[in-house]
Amino acid sequence: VNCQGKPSPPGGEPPGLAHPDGPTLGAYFDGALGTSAARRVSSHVAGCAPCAAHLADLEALALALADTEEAPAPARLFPGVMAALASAPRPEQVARLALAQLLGAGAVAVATLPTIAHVIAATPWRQTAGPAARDLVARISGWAAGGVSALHALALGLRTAAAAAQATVPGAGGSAGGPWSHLAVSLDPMSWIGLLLAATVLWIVVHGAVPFPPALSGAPNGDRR
Amino acid sequence: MSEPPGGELVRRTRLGDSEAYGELVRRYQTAVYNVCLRLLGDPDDAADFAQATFLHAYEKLHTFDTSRPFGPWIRRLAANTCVNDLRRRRPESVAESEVRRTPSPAAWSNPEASLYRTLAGDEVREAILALPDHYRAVIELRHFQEFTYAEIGEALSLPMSDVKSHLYRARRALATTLAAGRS
Repeated sequence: VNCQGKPSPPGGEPPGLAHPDGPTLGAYFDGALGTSAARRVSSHVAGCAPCAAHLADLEALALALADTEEAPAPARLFPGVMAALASAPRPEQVARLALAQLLGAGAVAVATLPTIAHVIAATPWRQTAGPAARDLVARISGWAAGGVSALHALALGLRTAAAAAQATVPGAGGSAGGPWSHLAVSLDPMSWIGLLLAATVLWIVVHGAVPFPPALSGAPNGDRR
Repeated sequence: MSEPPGGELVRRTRLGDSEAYGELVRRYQTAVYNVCLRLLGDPDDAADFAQATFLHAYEKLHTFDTSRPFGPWIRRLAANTCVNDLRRRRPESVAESEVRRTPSPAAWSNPEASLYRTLAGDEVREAILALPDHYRAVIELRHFQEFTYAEIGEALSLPMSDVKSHLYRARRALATTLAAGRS
């Protein structure tokens, strides 16, 4: 027997008369069915009093929920939030820290470039490569090493400034050691790795521990000793 | 004199005006507390999570788009905070037979449904609070936060079919409670 009380034909109800289950009607009410499924339910509901009544129930329930009276907030909430805010970093500090972290992550990414470029430059291929290719590698190495240094200097400055500002917030637990005491904890591990990578590359460049492309070592292109 | 809009208060807060954030807390504390209450079901937990929401919002204020209204943003933040807690809780046992059963809509239908409109607001609130955690969550996310089914599924880590059946059973349980309250 289908939802209209008529005997179901052998093989089931034709499309449009098959009775949708409760979750499907609910999804239809919420507009969460696909187009073809929604069309099937719609044509069914048009001729099915129980399903139409069910949709009316859903509508009534939704209205009752919309009219739900809100409970008053407890008296302790507002003072609790304001007291906790006194020891929280201010939004502009959080924004500065986020920027510093972004710069730190960028520096780490850039720090890998001179290393890769240097490894490539130190491999036997450069003996057979043309001067233009060697010069390009040398320039990339130089720019990347310079970029790493600049980015890290900027990130360190921002982090130090943010830590110093935090130390001045009442109740923030600022120590008497000043901003530098925050530096060790304000740098994340990736920034430390980036710094180490950058320092290693710069040390190699300065000390010439490994043969380096001519543009960085000061020799004319193709004239390495 | 009219009150400053939420976006203006956020801008002032970002510049270090804690009074401005205090005004935002004053305006939205009831809404945020009620989101937490409906999702968690416990007044003490709700107060703690409402406080945590305001602190979290303060820290994330630099990500807020001041051209948009503050209310929906912080209510959604509260809902996400509470839902994360609900997901960590052990799910309440739901009888398999109940989950698999798909009763006919006619069995759910209540001829006095239209009388819901005359129910006192706190009766509806009490009925919501009497629901199990997972049913309260879908009612809150669908009816109060207006999440789509896909968003509910993502928030609660449920497949779409479970979102549909949870919503259906939650609404049926709510309707039954409300109808019983009237009789």
